Amino acid sequence: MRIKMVIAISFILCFFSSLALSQEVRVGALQDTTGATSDVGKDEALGVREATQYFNDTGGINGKRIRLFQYDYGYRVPEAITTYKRFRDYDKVVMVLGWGTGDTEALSPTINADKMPYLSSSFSGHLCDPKKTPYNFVYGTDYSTNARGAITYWFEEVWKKDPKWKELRDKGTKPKFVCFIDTASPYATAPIKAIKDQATILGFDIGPDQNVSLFALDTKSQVIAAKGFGANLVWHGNTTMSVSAAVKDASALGLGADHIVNNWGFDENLPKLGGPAAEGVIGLLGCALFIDEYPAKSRVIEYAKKLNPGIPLENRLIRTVQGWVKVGMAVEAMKKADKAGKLNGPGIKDAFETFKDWPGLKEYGGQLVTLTPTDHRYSSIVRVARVIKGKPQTIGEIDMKAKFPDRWAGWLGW
Amino acid sequence: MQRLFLMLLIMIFGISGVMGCAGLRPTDDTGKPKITLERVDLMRMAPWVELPAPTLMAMGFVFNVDNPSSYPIKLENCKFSVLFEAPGKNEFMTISTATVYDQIYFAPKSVSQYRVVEFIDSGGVMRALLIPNRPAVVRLGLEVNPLTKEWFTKIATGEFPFKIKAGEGMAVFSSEGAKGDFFVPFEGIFPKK
Repeated sequence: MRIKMVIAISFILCFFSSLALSQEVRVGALQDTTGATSDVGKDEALGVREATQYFNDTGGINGKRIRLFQYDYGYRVPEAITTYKRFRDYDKVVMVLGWGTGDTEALSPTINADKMPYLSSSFSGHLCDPKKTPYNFVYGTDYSTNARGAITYWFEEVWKKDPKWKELRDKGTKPKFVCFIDTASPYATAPIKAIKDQATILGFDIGPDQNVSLFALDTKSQVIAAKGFGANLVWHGNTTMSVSAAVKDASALGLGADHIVNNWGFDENLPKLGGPAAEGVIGLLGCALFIDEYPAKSRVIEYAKKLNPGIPLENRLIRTVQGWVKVGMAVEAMKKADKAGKLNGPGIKDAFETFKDWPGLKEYGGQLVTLTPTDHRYSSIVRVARVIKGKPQTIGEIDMKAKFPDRWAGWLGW
Repeated sequence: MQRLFLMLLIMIFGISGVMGCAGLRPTDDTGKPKITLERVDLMRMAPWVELPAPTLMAMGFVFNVDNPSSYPIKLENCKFSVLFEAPGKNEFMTISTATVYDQIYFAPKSVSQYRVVEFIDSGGVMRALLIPNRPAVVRLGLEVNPLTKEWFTKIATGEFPFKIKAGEGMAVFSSEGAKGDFFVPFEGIFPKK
């Protein structure tokens, strides 16, 4: 009798230990490694894969291994939709790491109906209002806050102080502002309403938008149009390749304006591609550059070498670090949800909404993260950088909530 | 009581061994798996249509998977970049990224062949040339549309008149507890000459 009992207990113990070993948490990742934003997307995809491996090697989600399904959709919205359905119905993922604004916004009604947490590389402000998009999350300061912060910073630190603009300042001239964006790209157009609102608040004179394709090799006609308007400041809303083309053309044609670039157009490649024309260009950074010093640098490099030894480290970008930021934030939410016994869509959403000055991303040069059930804006801090001696370097931060306390709440969802 | 405790321990270890491991525990460590590119097959080819309309082709990358160990290994995932050679330039352009999540076992002390099918369309190739390959395209003075057409029409002859590379490859194998995970980088060029 006693022996039978021992055998039964042994089987039960072994069954549960085997079950724990075999448990896995399935996560989907939608990437652009070959499409219109692959200049930044390929590197981010590498970072996502490497970070996932690191978290698996260090215990996964409370002992459960993350199984990552990572697919390239070539920045094509229909493929993103079919891939999402694959994630949901076949791969059975608990959350999705998404990519572009077009596909994230197109999928938003579906993922919210499915209660599927969706942490995207699109930081569109439209995704930050939980009343409309409760299951959408972003892992950087949203585009609209960033855009408002960037031109506010330029207005106060450059326009009001730089000798370059003294003559115009003394005459009482309003700064003239234009946007260079792919008008067919939801990513590029997402913050335009907000940035023009901010330009109006600051008293700028706003010129006509210039349509610059994400694939643009030649932007001379757009630069000539901006020059005709007399632009002092250009907002570049595209990714690095077309931004570098526009910056070079602006320099060659003597536009004379300052440039501010959204975060996906501003990285280590910009000075490489833009050359001397990129010197002094201002841009937005969500975290540390790959080559910067940051607490997690050794592990980021270790896993880059371990998983992708064929890719030279000198070709790596801030996008790799952004991949780590994305996975790090997702892992934290999944761990919290798992501890609460709710490792599912609503549980992960609830876990994200408990983030209160969460410091985990500081290791990667990110911000303290606060998310609430009524506000999914990751942070109100805008980190501004500038290309100095051929390298993007942080020049300041601006807290938009502190600076515009009366307006901050009203900007949700812009 | 001591006997009972001893029996319990023996049974826990014994049954854990049976349930926790697939196959036998290794008695020797004869090295990590290796992957080499055996050949590239043209699996399907649509007639050329002028850009920007897409023309589709499917390529089969046949790899040799060498498992020198004495235990079976399970492929967890595998990804590699597909690169085409710019004719006459001796330089490769990244065209697409192949990713597979097949979970298959490779027997101990054996070399098996494993094929990954990657679909490539001319529109995607054109975009890949315009964005991630742009610095090389500009440096080498390449014309994007004619180069795309050249690749698609020449390969349709089945002659492989330019080289194709599987680069930046990484396969993750699991030994399911025997030796942990293996990360196997690989790359290869076809035709080899």
